[in-house]
Amino acid sequence: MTAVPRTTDVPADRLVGGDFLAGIDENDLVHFVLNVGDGDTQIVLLPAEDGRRRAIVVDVCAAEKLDHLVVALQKAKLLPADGQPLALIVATHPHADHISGMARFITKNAKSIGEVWEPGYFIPTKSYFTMMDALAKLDLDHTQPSSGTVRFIDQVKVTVLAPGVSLKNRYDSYGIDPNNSSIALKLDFPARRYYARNEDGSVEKLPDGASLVLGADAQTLSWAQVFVDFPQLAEEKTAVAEALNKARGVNHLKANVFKVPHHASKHGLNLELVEEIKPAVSLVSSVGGGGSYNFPHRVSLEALREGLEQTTKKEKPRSEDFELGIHFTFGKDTANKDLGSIAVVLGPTGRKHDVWRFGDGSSKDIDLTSARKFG
Amino acid sequence: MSPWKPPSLLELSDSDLAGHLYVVVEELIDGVVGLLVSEWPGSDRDGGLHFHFDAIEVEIGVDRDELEERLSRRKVPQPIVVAADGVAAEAELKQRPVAVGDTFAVRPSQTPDSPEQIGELVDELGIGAWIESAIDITADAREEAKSAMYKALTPPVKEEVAAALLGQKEAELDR
Repeated sequence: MTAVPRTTDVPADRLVGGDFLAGIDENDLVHFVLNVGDGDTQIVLLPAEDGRRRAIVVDVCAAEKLDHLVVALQKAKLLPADGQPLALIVATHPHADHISGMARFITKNAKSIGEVWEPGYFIPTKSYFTMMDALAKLDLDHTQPSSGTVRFIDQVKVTVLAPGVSLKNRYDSYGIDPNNSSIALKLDFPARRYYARNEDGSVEKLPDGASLVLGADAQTLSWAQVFVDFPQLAEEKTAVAEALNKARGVNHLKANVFKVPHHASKHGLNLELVEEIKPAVSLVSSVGGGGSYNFPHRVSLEALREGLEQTTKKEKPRSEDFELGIHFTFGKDTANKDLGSIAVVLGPTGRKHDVWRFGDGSSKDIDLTSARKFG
Repeated sequence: MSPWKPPSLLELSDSDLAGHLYVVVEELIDGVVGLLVSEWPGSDRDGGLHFHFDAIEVEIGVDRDELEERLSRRKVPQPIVVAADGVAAEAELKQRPVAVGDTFAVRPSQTPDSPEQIGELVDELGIGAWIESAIDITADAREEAKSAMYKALTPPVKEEVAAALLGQKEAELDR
């Protein structure tokens, strides 16, 4: 199942140096996926509220690298240094490649953290014990959420897609794989859809804004539950359907940005999921054809590609991954330069979804001033 | 900090324990088992399992068949075997398939110069040859993990509440 993604030769001329910081508007959300090798470390800068941004951290495999990025973001005035700018820390599930740096990070940044989420799945590893030990010493709000949990943070609605309750109730018997305890999230913004009251007394509603789905390491069992908990509504253009859609609300799973689950493992993704999300940008964190499990797996990448570009009625060759909006933390451009960590700058309408690459190796820091924009 | 001594390893001395590594099955993907290998943990003031957050934890991927073959000769905690009624239970515990969360006190046949080289050493020797002995401490480790979660998220139970609950349990047992 060794994968040979075709992204390792992203044309160098598609990556153009630019001013990453200047390209960020205060209403934009910025999603960083750090190049940490075989693991996950993400930080999402939320749109500014009263001139201040807050952030959500999702998994910490590389504490020092994330810590240095947080300091750099503070120096760049993208995150305040005071208050609790790290509104939410999510340890998606207790695998070491997602939480090995969590104890160090939350201990060092305790005063800046609002609350912590983890799924409640216990496993007797060093990474888990140290994370719990660190939490025991700190007085942080803590939640073990399941599907349907919603938290509003500034302009962003954070919805927990997984784990479903039926999976959560099986933790204690080790009846499910830890990957399926993963907290998968959907972030929608702007959260408020009611804009103003019209003169006739009706409220003016806004169309859907921008969304991200962060898949953690949830696997097909968990996504099957997500489809049950968040049923997809058929898109119809009849007056009745439109009225029903207004009543029912948003399209649950559709998103502009998709953090692909489980490093594109063959158990983390299926075609139907990609078709439901239909992302403009798909992000894969992986060491690339290496590590213990040879992530990303070829069958998952093909499912991702097929979901983004159907071949049923086409005979033309498949587009390159970067043309389909698929980006990997590993790989190099055709000039043999590391692609490295990824930042997606996402505007509130979803039309702006700029992808920036930082060229850092997995053990190197991110330099915000040396980013290249994919175009 | 003295080494953590779970109930199933009470017969081992501190120096015996120090020669062991703490090995957990973290991931199963097809024929590959992801093992997390750490130095032997210490114990906190209550005797609970404690790792320093700087302790090194190394992930290695090993062949599932080879690991299961070697683990079929694992030692299993005698109190559990006795409670489960003897020889058949012991055989069943030794033959059970490897599962996520399984935890072993492993004495390695060779120790690398640095923990980061464990993967290379295991690749060279094979997991079967690298494990000199393995004691199944899954039940103890699992209780410690559960206890760590409650310790992190809940305040201690008040003495009078605990006494009332324990008293009720005893009364039910007497009935």
